Amino acid sequence: MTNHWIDLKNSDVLMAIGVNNAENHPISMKWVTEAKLAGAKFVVVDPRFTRSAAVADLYAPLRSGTDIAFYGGLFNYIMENNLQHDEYVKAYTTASWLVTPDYAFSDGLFSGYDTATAKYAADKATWAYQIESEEQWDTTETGKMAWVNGAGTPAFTTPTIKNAKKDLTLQDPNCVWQLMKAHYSRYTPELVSSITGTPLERLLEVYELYASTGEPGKAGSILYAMGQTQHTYGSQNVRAMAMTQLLLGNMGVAGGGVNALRGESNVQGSTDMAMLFHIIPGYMSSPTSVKHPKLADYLSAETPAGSYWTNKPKFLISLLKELYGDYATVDNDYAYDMLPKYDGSNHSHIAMFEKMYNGEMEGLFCWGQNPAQAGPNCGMERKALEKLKWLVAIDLWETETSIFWSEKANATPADIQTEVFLLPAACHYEKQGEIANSGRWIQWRYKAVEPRQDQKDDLEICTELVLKLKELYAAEGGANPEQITELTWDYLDDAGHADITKVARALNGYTVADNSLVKNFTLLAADGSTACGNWIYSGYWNNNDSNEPADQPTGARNDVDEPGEGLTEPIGSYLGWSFAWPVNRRVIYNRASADPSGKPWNENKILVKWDGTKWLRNDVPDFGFQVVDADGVATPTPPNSTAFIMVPEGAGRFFTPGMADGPFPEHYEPFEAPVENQMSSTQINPAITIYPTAAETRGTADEFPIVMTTFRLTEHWQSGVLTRNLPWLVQTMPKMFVELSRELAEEKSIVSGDNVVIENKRGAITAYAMVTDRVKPFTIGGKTVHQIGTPWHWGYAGVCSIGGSANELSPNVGDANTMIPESKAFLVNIRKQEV
Amino acid sequence: MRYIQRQSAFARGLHWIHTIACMSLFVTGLMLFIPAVASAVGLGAMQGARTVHRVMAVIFIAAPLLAVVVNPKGFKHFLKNMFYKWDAGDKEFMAKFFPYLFTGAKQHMPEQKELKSGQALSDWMLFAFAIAISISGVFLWLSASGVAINGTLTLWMLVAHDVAFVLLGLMMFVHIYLGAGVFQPYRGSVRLMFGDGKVSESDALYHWGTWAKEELAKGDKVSVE
Amino acid sequence: MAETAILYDASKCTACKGCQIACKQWNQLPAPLTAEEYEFTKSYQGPLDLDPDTWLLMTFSEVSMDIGVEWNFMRHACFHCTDAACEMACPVGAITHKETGAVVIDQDKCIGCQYCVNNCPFSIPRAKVIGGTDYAKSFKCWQCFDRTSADKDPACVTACPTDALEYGDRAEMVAKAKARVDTLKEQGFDKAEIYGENEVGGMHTIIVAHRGLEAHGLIRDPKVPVATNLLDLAKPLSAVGVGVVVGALGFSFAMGSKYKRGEHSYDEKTDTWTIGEVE
Repeated sequence: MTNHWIDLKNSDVLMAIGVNNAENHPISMKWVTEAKLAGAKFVVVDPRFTRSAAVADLYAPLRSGTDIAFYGGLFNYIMENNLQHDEYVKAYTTASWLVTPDYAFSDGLFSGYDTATAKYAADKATWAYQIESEEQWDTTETGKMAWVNGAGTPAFTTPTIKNAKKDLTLQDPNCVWQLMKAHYSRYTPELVSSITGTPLERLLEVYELYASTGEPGKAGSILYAMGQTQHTYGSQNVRAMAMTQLLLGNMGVAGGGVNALRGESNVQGSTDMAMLFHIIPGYMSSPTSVKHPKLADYLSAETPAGSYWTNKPKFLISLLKELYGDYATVDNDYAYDMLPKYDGSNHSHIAMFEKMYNGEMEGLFCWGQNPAQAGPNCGMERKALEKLKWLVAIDLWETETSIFWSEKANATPADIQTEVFLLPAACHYEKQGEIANSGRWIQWRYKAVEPRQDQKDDLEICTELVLKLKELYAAEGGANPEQITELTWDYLDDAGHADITKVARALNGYTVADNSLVKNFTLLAADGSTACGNWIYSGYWNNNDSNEPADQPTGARNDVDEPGEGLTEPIGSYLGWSFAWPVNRRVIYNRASADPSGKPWNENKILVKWDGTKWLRNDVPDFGFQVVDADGVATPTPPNSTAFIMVPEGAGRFFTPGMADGPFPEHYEPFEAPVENQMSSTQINPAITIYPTAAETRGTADEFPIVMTTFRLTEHWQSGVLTRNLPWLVQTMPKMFVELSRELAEEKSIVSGDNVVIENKRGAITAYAMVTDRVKPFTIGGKTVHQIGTPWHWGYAGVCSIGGSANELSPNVGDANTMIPESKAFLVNIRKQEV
Repeated sequence: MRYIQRQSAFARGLHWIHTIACMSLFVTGLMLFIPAVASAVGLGAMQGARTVHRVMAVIFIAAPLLAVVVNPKGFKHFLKNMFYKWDAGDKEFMAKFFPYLFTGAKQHMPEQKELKSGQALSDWMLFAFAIAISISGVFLWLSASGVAINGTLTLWMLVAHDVAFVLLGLMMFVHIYLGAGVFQPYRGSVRLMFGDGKVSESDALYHWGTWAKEELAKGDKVSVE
Repeated sequence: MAETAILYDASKCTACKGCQIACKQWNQLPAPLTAEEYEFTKSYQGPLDLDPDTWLLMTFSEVSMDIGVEWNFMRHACFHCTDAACEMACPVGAITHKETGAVVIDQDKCIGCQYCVNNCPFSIPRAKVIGGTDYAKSFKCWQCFDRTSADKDPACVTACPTDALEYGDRAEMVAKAKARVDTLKEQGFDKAEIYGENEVGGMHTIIVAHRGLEAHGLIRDPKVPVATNLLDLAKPLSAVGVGVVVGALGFSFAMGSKYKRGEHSYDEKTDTWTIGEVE
């Protein structure tokens, strides 16, 4: 979330699209309800009528996978009717920036597409701005970037600042605004309705209501989740939401923002900690052997010319100092060579299982993950697991993955040679630590009870593993042993057990010389004088006087919402409750909540305000609001027009070269679609990677005419290994089912309670039929398209409830940028099970 | 003096069994009927009472049914006595009965057959209430044992059980008052069911004149003591 | 302690079932352990009905619309009526009103007769045989009287994420509900109604039913069953009956106590009946 849970109450219109927040994020409804009580409208756009829709003021159905068409139509509606927040768009976005005349778009393809590789040119030369002037970083002794030449700072090539040409009248045909207007003029309401299946009148009602937040002082919030991301163009869906919010001036304001409601209690934390192949902690790119074999290559390539990310060398060197301690010196490039580098190819979940399927992997640690049930095309993933020599599953109890070899999984144990270990892990009540919620609050929680029997908390398991590896490498050597032997792992208590408070210290960062915690990441340095495990967490554990979590910002629990100094009304920031990264900021880009002169768009919902001499603050400002000199005297910085400090442009981007599949979101059909693309002859996202196992099992609309989507329920969680073993929860939702419309049920002679078979080329599952008017057929391009949905909580492991897994059917094909699998729209057929 | 064998050993045995069952049911039912009793005796006693109530209910219902099977002749005789058309004497008896009851038997009652019309009426009522209480009781038992029975039906069965209980209870007072000869003019009749089943010539003539004369004439049930 | 009530505002409810689980948890009510014991319910409602171990159930009903449906939710649990039929019917005084207005079954007194089960116009109490015995007991929501008497909200209320459930002074809850109904009507919910203010003597669960009582599955104008009233009447009436009969018989006894009769005899040969002399 760019904003946070409580901030939802500040909204005038909340649009939940691709999220079922009432069911999957129940607490969100506390604040949505509060907003509604204050007069806000709640809009739900979803393929299914959900419990969120049940409490919505306005509901619009939309065929799964057609969100970009929906947004395209919204952009068109806003721009045609001049409903954008004009001053905001001009001041804070790239609308006026000029793009190279080489940029082109034709029949679903942007310029620079290479049909041979099925990818866009890596340099994105035709997606660039026209350059007005160039300048270099001022690295002179008194310059802003003097630190680059400081002793101990590794050498690298500083980037060139390229100032783009602009046309503040927004009339130049090559300006972003005109390009965008042209691009989305194709998305007429009628065409959008024909693609999405949303009845035209209802579509326009939603557009009208949401566009009303473009009025200065009004705030609109977009809530989303996997319904937006789990598509082959999921990243572009998110882009489209960001663009919507920029158009309407909803970014950086109270009650606005692009708000990803995270589906796991700590998935925010897991991405913060870089539990992904392509990043290292703090959202920095993973080094590759291709692009950054040496430290200088990394710093030169990854340090942008502008934005707060210009400090990236400080964050990386501090990370290396934490990882390798005294071993990391300027002379050995701060042990950069010890960092594993990947070959630049994709190692995401789908790619990894493809490799495993091809016998290219020996072993796998599945740590609180259940791919045999939750992975896309999970039948294929189970086959891939069979190719492993060993598998370690670490979970609370038996999962589908830990028994993928058993008869329960329809496998023949004698034929599978994989050696499987199941390590019992402690559950969240049995360990202490912090979790990061969707609003980026990092909240500490204590252990409630001791783990039972052999269960261990994850950090302890990890520590035992690392210490054993260190011992083995120390004794036996091997290739590059320092990588392990020199790795810092002193997060131990006196008894030699893992001590998570020591990890917390490391994450916060400290000065190497005196081991004193740093206040926050602004004090990190690139010269080896500071160490920090994750720069964005810096400041969350910075109390040098205590090691007690409750005395640290992460453990702060002031539940009084206080207004900032000089302000009268609080805004729900609760700055004294826990710590939000970065630097306890609750609303990202909050500078945009006030006009260029610093006057808030809405005087009743102030985040920051320039009172003529200083900034009044209900939140931690997301901009340089003051300069503090060596004596600690603060001088306020007067307002300017830079509201987006984390992007090189310093402005909100409608057009970006940063995406793999186009500078503007464009509608494509899902990998498996029931109809042809009505926008262009480019049927699917042209930049996605299709692995052989996915290509082989791709279904067509002739064989499999029904769209299937997957969803979650309040009553269960994820792959269900937890909840399907809890009778109280099972009782509230006891069986795997499929929701289908009355019309489809009649066509297939199915009645509620029947056992039905859902199948495609990847697999077949059975489920109970739940015939309901909450699901209705769509009319797409004049043709009736049926859509069904199943929860994906069921599987073959567990005690209280077992059932078919929806992911037996979902394709192992992913988004062009992130490779997140397309679980929300694919094709199947359905029939009544013969008795 | 001559005696007529009015009640057989079989009839008396059945009556004994039914009396015990009925009394037990009455007492255990009363425990449930008056909340203060439940509070006073406690949960254990109430649970014990339920067991007694159910065992006795089985006897209460099964005993007469068994009797019909075992002694069809007796049942025929019983039916004959219960189903007959009232003649003028029967009607006159009923008309004079209440004045008779409340004025110290100063009424001259007409001669009666084996069963007085009032007696038949009272028996009819006892039987009707007994059947009502039995049927409703079975329903309640089944319902309480988890057999799916419509709640409203069960509720009305409960009402029926209660009403039958009260009416049966009241009729029992009357039955005992007269049948056991608490009422002075009826003195001695206790012997019929709780004694040897015989009635003296004098009493027989007083109560059931027509019948007594027939029996004395036939003589097969007559003995001299 | 003043009379209190739970306020359930259906217009704020997302049917997350947090209350249903919180009830199970606080009152430690079991659910079946194995898959075989569960049935598919054909809807989001689970289980299908209240049972001795489910005192609070979220119910779901759908009304089809042009686009989507009206999906109506209701928190189904004891309403804690002032004129509580269960209390009237309980033959052993095991069901009583607490000072908060909560209607509570005293399990130590319950004999398992299940009269409450059959008398409740809402079919709230449910009975089950207690393990290891042959005796049933009745169960239902008791408004967490253990919590409320310790100045804590009922478990269901604490679990509600949207404040669709509140607990407090009854008069205050009624006032809130009325104000909410007014607001909802202004917002276009023409059928919005309050439930529980006057029904069966006034309930201690007050409900805001924004789509009208019927849509939410509430019984309009519920009454203590006629039969329950009859049962209640049976006791004083039978006391009168006993009095009348015993009195009458006593009078009769007194009148007849002087009665003396001589021996009667009959000569069957002559068909002569000799009437004994009366002294």
